[in-house]
This record gives sequence, C-alpha cells and structure tokens, in this order.
Amino acid sequence: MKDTLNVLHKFNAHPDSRCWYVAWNPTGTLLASCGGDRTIRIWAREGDSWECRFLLPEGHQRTVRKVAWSPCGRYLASASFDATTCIWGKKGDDFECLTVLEGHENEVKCVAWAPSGSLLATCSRDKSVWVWEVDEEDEYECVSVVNAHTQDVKHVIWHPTQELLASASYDNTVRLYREEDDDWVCKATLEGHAATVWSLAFDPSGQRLASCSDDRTVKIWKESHSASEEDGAGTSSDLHWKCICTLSGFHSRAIYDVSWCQQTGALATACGDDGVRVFKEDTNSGPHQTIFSLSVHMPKAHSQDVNCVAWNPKEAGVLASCSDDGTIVIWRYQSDT
Amino acid sequence: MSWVKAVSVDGDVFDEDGDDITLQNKEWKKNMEKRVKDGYRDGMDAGKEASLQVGFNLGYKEGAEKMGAVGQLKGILSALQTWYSLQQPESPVPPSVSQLLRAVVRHEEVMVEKMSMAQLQASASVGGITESMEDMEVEHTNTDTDCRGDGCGNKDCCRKGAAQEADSTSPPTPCQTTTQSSFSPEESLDHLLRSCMDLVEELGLPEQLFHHVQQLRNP
Amino acid sequence: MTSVSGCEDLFDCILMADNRFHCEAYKEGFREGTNQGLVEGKTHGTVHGAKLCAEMSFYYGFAFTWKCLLQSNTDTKSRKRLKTLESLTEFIEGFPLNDPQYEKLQECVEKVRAKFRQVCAMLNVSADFREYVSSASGMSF
Repeated sequence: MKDTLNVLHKFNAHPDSRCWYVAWNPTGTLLASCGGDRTIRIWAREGDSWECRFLLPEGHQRTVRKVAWSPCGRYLASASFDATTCIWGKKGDDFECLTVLEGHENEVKCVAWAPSGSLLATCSRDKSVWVWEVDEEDEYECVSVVNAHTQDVKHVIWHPTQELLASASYDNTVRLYREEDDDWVCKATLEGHAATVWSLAFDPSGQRLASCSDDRTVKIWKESHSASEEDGAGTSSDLHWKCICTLSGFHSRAIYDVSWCQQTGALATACGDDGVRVFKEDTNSGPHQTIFSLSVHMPKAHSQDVNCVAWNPKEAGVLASCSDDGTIVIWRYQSDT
Repeated sequence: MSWVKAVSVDGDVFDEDGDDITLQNKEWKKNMEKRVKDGYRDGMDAGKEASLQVGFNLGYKEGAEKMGAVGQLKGILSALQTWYSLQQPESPVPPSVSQLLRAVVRHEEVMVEKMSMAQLQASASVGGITESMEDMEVEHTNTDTDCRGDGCGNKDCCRKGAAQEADSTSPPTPCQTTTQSSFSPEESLDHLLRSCMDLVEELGLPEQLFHHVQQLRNP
Repeated sequence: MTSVSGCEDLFDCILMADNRFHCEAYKEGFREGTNQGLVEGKTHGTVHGAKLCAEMSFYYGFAFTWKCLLQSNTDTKSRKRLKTLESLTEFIEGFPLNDPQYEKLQECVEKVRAKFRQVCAMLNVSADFREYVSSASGMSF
C-alpha cells in the first residue's frame, strides 16, 4: 500500500485574507486559526463539516500572526503585529480577552506556553525573546528579556518536558535557552541554515529538534552529550546540539512550518510552493544514523503559500494546514508502515 | 613637500648635461616623485592605522566621563515623571519635575551636539588635508567601511513583498550652532543637580535619593 | 674597470636615493597619519563613549530612583520589582563601562538594554522612555 494524504475537509477560514496559523487545543477537538484580517476564530467539527464555533472579539489592531493554547486548554494566547500578546479565556459562552501583554517594541511573531503552563514565551521583530511568568492569580509578569538574536525572531517553542526554550530567527540561527540565576540565558546557538529559520518542532521525546528554513531545507538537531566532555570548552552548563540530518532537495521554495506528529513520529512541512509534504523516518534509522524519506507530497495542497501545518495531538494522522489563500484543510495521512 | 623639492634640487645638477641626460633625468625625477608619493601614502596609511584605535580609546574615556552625571540625572527625573503619572493618573506630574527633565534633556543634547560638531570638524579638516594631497595621490583610507558581507539577496526581505529588516541607524544630527557660545557645561550641570536636590527635598522624596544626587555633584 | 665601478656607484647611488626618498617620505607620512588618526579616532571615540555612557547612566539613574521609591513597599509585586531593579543596578555597577577595550562590553550593554526593557514592562512604564532601545520601523512577517 502506498502512503496517502487525503482531504477530509476544506473551508474558507479567513475569506479575502491570509490564514497565518492554526493550533489544536490539547484534546484535539478545537482548532484555533488567525489571520491577516486581525481575527481569531475557533473551529469545531459538527457532523460532516467544520463550523466556526467562536469568533473572538476585536482584540488586535493588526495581523494576528500566531495562536497557542495553554496546556490546560482553557486559555488561548495570540501574538500580533500590533506589538501585543493577548490572553483569551472562556467567560460564559464566549471568549474574552483577559490580559494584554505589552512590552515588545514592534511585531510579535510568536507565542508559546511552557508544558507546565506557568511560563509563556514571546518573540518579536525587535530581536528579543521574552519570558513571562503566570502567577496563581493569572497575572503575567515579565521575568526575562533576552537579546541573543541579531535579527527578527520568527518562532519560539518549548521543550515538551523540560524548561528549555528554543527560538528561530532571520539571523539564520536557532538558539536554546535555560533559566540561570533568575534570568533566561542563551545556552546554545545552532548554526547551519543558510537563510531565515521560520519554524521549529520537537520530536515526541524532546530528544530531537526539527528546524525549517528559507534555504529550502529541514534540519534535524540532537543533543550531543559527548561534546562538552570532549572539547572541554565552554561552561559545563552550555548545551551542545548537533545537526544529524538535513532534508534537502525536496522543497522548491521556502519552508514556513514543520510539525512533528506526537503519535506516529511523521514530520509534515508547509512550503511556499503551495505544497504539503510528509516525511517518515526509515526503519533502519538508528542512534548513529538518522534517515527521513519523503512519504507523501501533495503539490497544490492550497492555491497559495502554505503557512502552517499542525498534527492533531490525539488523533493520529490527522493534519491541519492553512494558507495565504485563506483556507484551512484537514487531512488524513495514512502510511503502510 | 620637502622631498619633492630635494628631488628637484638634485635634478638640477644633471640639467647642465646634454639633452639625452635631461630626458633620462626627467624620467628619473618622475620616478623619484612617484616613490616619494608612494612612500608618503604608505606611511600615512600605516600611521593612521596605528593610531586610530589609540585615539578612539582616549576619546571614549573622555566622552564617557563627561556624560555619567547628566545621564543619571535624566534617568532620575524620568523615573520620577513615570512614578507620578502612575501613582496619580488623574493629577498632572509636578511641573517642577517635567520642567527640570526638559532642561536636563536639552543639556544632554547640547553636550552631544558639541561633541558631534567636533567630530564633523575633525573629519572635515582631515578631508581638507586629503584634498590637498590628491595631487600626490595620497589616498584617504576609509576607516568606516562596514561591509556586513552577507548581502540580503535571498533573505526574506522579499518575502511577500513588503518585508524590510532595516537595522537601526540614527539619523544624522542636525547642525545647530545656536546656544553654543554661552554654554558652560560644568556650571550648568551643577546648577541642574542642585535644582534636582531642591526638588527631591520639596517633594518629600526618600533621603537616599537626595544623597545620591548630592554624590553626583562631587564624584 | 674604473668606469664600470663608477657606473655601479652611480647605479647604487640612484638606488639609494630611490630608497631614501621613499623611506623619508614614508616617515613624514607616518607622522602625519599618526596625528590624523589620533584626532579622528579621538573625536569618534568621544561621541561614542558619551552616547553609550549617557544611555547606561540613564538606566542606572532610572532604576536607582524607582528602587528608592518602592523600597518601603512590602507587597509581593513590589518585592519582585525591587529584585529586578536591584539586579539591573548591580549589573551596571559590575562592568567597566568606561573601558572601550573591555572585550565583553557589547555583550554587557545588550544585557543592560534587555534588563531595562523588562523593568519597563514590570513597571507598566509607557514606551516614551524606551527611546534608546527602539529600532527603525518597517515591515516583516
């Protein structure tokens, strides 16, 4: 049997605008989307179709670039070009903006919750990454501002189990951060991409990190414990991550997003050539050799750039993608292995 | 240039001989002049390279020492301004605070302007020398070359048409020659610091702050 | 033979003259270049040092004053703010701002800027006071 990717649903989520990003809630029942029309919508499946369950009230003055659900699923954070981050929560039958996080100088590009739910990270074109703490009264306080990147920071993501933060930037690097003496400090710089790094994804165990770039490649990075002992350089707290695999030659344009399926380990990409691709790890891939091969390529998955791909966290093989054409497509991926 | 003259004088000795030699001599003179020019230029480059950093370090310390107190004063008054506007959003910030802050900002601007003027003058005078050296083919070494090397060609500048990743470059300071002559930085800074101390007392602000400003007067 | 050696002498003489002219011109150029470099470097350095020190001192004065204003407060929020303000003033005191040759100067300056922005966010201070850290406007995705 050949691996397949079939359309389950397709809907016009942000008509006459771009759909920038989609995010599944932790139970995989709701899909939040955001777009160039400054709106945030929350979608749910109703019978055979997907309906907009909530249209969040106007909270942002400009494009909403990313959305993220809190690990408990009760809050949604949105990052906007209006330099703010909003925290939304359900009050009665509607979502309401509970807090506005201000501080970034200009466009906020991404927001991400730590697995504990008590920390939030944001990043911006102002080159900085901010870490916010959420206290018992749901008050947010900035605990650190890190200026490690030399350019626009495109994406932030937390490690699935540890308090380890990763960021991707227009300066072509990926950086990793840890807390140290009440401050968040850059502990590693992953160099290798030849252009903007657009997005990141950890594998289910958190041992590997995938990055995708404007240079049309995906790179897989892995922590190498031996490095610090070997060269003896750097402080003992520095992290060492090495590129163990590069997927090149598969994409004809910039790759804007990458998603690592928590159940199947399959890797999906969103590409500027309008295509969606799924890669799977070869069975003879081992600790010393990592091999990914193209499982499915869906050219013209959308009629314009694909901006985001997101695996459903609970339902294996269900993938959502969204595009500059304003639509969201829900796919089912099936593999014979 | 004394060396060029020296060549001419030496040359004249040969001039008494025949045409042939005169021709050779002219050639020789030309060569010598070129050697002088090259030598001068090489020396100039090397001299500049050797001293630029030294000069920079000297200037940096001087500039830094001048601005410590005024910078702090600006910070202190800015803090007070924000404090009052957050504490009593309904009532205006005490005018004494905002007035003094404006005076301090102006003072700082004038100080920086003066230094920038000196910088402009210095580069202008160097430019002048360079011009007069042009007939000697003395090249002005460009010390400001700041090639980032990574041309933005394939970056996401062009992503969706509008992306610009401009780095922050400060606009050139406009030339303002007014108020320069009557301005004495030391005198008026001390005056500003004293005003700040009075203000801290008047508004009943913590004593610690009063002492801190006092210390700025006598570092 | 004498004529040949005379010729050689003349040749040597020319060579020597050649070197001498070059060498002495070099020396004069070097002197002039050194002077120019010192003047140019110094004025450049003065402006640079002045601006950076004014900026860092501004942060220090700002943080110090807020510390004074908050020190009598005992609530958790104020304590947290005080701690961050304290770490900012301590950090500024902790590195040689007046030494342009300090190898980590740029790194420290960046850290101070970042810390100041955190302080502003904590204090809910409006963006007007962040003039130093703001960068050029533009568009990106």
